[in-house]
Amino acid sequence: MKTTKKRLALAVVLGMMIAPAALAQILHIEMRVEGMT
Amino acid sequence: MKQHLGRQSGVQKVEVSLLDGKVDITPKEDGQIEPAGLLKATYDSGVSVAEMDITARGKIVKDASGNLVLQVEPNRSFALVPNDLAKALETFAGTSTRLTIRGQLYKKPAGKKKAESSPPLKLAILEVQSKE
Repeated sequence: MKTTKKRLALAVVLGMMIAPAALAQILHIEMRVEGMT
Repeated sequence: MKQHLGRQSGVQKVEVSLLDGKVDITPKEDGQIEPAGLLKATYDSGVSVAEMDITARGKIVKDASGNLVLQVEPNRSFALVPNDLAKALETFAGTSTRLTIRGQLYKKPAGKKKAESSPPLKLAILEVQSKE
């Protein structure tokens, strides 16, 4: 029981750490280049 | 050039169109991609970048000087060029609204044969695709 609660708490903390990075990011980059052969 | 770019951190896929000089870069989801590094890698491969457009999701915040900034990660942000579209987003500054924005991060200065390899990157908003 105690272990389950610990694991749940750990999952919540990890989720809080990962979520902002997953929600805010660069999705795509497009470049127009010159002098390419 | 494709190999140079593919070796940069945070790059998942690079597609090059020789016909129209377009390079499409798909970032990894790890958020490690660095646009300035991509510009440098392109120059290092002997090719000149005319324009760089990005699509990014993030929050609008104000920096210490009160200028609008798109924060795409807690430790990465792009200053916004103060155009009409950026002004319209001022109401979102400091809120938790996440915006998906397409904008121009770099354009080769007119008249210069060789552009600077590490110019200051400012994001000129072209389109606001979504607000969450």
